[in-house]
Amino acid sequence: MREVEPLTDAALDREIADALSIDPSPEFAARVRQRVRLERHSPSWHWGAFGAVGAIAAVALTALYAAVVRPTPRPSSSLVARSISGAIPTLPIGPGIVRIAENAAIGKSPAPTARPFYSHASRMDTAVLVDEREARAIRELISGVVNGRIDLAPLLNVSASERAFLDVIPIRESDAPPNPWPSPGGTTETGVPQ
Amino acid sequence: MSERAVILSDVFAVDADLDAEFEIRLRESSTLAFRVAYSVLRHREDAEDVAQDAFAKAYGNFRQLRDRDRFRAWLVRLTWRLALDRRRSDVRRIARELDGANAGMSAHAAGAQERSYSLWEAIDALPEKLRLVVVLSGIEGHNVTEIAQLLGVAVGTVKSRMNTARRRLREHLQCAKSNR
Repeated sequence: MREVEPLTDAALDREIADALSIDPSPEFAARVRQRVRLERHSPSWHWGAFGAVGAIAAVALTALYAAVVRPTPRPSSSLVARSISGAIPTLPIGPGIVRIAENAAIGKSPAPTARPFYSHASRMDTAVLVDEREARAIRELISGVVNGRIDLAPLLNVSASERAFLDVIPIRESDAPPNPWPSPGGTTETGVPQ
Repeated sequence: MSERAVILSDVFAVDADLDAEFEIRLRESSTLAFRVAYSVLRHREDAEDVAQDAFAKAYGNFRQLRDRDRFRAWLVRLTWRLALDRRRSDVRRIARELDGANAGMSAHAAGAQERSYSLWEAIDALPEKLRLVVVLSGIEGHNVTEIAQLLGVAVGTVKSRMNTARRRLREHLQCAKSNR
């Protein structure tokens, strides 16, 4: 075994640099440019762009639907099971409610396991889905657009012919069909007015 | 010109700007990416393929990588990862350029080749974190601050890794020399 001279940091760094001093071929940059050009024009590139645009449009439409089209929750009176005096053959509601009503009518308490299905609905009624001020603003916006006070055409950036297509046709009184149902009042064959 | 035409021309102008910037990054970083890939693969064509893949991916994300330092850091890390993946998937196929190249060489050239082989063997024996620091220090003479930027770590960490790596390399090389 012979004596080994010490390897300094500088000598080591120089050796590493020498080992890595290899250059790419002259065509390398041209090949990268060609590859990038191909990637840019490949269908997957376009589909990616279309996909992104589609996703944004879907989110925007969903938000628009949630803000404008969906009806605001109407306050509904909570359903309460109660006894009904008088002989009523059937009630025009679900079988669970009928059972509860019958039990109440004959003086029995409903079985603890037979939970009325409308209990969830009464809880949901308390949740505020749209803020009252927002709802008012949306209604004002819609009525403004219908009355012609507010013009959304610059926002939508559509031509006159396209705007005519998008115009909302106001509903007139005369368009409403006559109400086919009899007005409530008095005892009928089907039940007693509540 | 209609509003739509103006918008479209703006979009294409932005794309043209992006392309011009990407061209600059390509010119200044192509050797860096190639050498990082070469340090792992030790095969010129494979290294070019990997560097090309890295640039193609970089172009796809170029809107987020327009800053020069960020681009180079991202490119180095991506190229390193792609090269490691290629090496793992292709271990048997990859023929090192050093292997079998000694035939017909002069004694001096064969000695240099052997030294280079020993060096790469020592570098390959390092843990990945140390190896990347050593490779980056050997490419384009990066100093510790530049290496810290490229790797997204503290300067002190780079110094510490560099010292450990040098010590291990020295031990490995001197051991190999004394055994010859």
